[in-house]
Amino acid sequence: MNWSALKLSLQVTVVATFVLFVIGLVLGVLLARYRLRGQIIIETIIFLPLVLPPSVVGYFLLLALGRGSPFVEWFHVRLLFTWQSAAIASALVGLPLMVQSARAAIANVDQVLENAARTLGSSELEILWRVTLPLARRGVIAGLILGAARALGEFGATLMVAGNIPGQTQTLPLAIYDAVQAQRYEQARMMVIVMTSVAFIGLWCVRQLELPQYHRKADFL
Amino acid sequence: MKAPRLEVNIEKRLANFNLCVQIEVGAEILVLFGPSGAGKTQTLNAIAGLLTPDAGEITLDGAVFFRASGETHDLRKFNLPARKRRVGYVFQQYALFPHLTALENVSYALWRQPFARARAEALLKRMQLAELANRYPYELSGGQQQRVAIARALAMEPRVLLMDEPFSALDSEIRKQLHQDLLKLQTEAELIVIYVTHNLEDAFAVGHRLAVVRDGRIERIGAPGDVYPQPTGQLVMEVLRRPQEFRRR
Repeated sequence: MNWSALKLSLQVTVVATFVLFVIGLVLGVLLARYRLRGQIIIETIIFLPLVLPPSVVGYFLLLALGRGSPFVEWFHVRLLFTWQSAAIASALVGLPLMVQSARAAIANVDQVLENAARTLGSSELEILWRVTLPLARRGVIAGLILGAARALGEFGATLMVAGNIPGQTQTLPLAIYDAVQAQRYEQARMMVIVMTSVAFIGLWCVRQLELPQYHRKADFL
Repeated sequence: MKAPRLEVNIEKRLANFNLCVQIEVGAEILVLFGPSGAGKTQTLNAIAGLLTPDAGEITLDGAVFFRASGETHDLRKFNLPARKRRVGYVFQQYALFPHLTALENVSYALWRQPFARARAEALLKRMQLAELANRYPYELSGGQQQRVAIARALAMEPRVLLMDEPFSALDSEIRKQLHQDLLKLQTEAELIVIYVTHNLEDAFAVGHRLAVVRDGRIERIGAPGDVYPQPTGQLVMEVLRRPQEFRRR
């Protein structure tokens, strides 16, 4: 077992999941509740990483994070070939799954309930926090699990922007690739079992959240 | 204490018709009576701040809720957000928060206020719901949900209470009881109540005044006894002839 890769994968996934939660929620609310100018364009761009080859996503990230990009010029941070850039790549590929699920769940919340909250003195942010999100939470959590699982499995884009530096940017999927290349099959097998188990449990949870509920109480639990 | 006064004078272009309502309401129960789709709910929504009129003005005791930018004055458009109007609204299907208990629903508006729980409990008790405080809406009957919805609207001590078909889903015994409760409540708190219904029985049971609404306009307004026996409008004639038609949802 490659412990440093496991630790790094966890680190990258936790950060990516946090980013997913914040950005995915904002986008989910905006897309579900507001008619935005250029809505279809925005949606299409968010969903692109789902169908683009990882190398293309990686290429765009290299442009965005590399030397001469506005990001580097303004903030004076070097992100390429750090674990942080792996987290950004992971969040990007997980985002469509989170946005899709969160948007559907939020759109499903009865707007009369939000209007009721308005007449009871709530600001829009308070309504989101006290009414909309609690009622949409199954979908939001499902989206977050899917996005996190996808982030954990990120390989191609991570390889391009963060490299494959053992102990620094080598996550589990990269370590598996390395182990197989070096014919360390025993080590690869352990990591494959870990990755498969985590993915299985994640998807199982999502299915549980999506199961049809027969009792009215379960509409919101 | 000065008697409260709500003045509504609004126009709004809607999909099927133009809403054009002028009413003045004091501490009384004004019933808006008319068939479905006449613009009754939209009128309530405009007063609550959930629908923005195209023209006109809404004021409560001289304080402006809404004012369109007009040709007659230089003042700019003003629209007080719903959350700042303190208008109680009991929605047609109650719109209770399904993830909160009865007590949590009632104390929703009291968030961050002192003694929120005690005040919510007192309201539930007044509505004879004290022992149901910890039940979720799906565990309550229609009449109980209705009373929770009223308690929730009253929690923020509104001066105006809007009720949209509040008792339409309930059977007649409970209805009678709730009519009595509402009348008592209105007198005690000197509330301005606007009560929307398409049920003539309801209208007569609670209305101090009755406004007949049709196609977005108020066709006739006055004491129920005045509006009813001397009908001039087409709708009132129809109600006289076939009252059962107007009880349909």
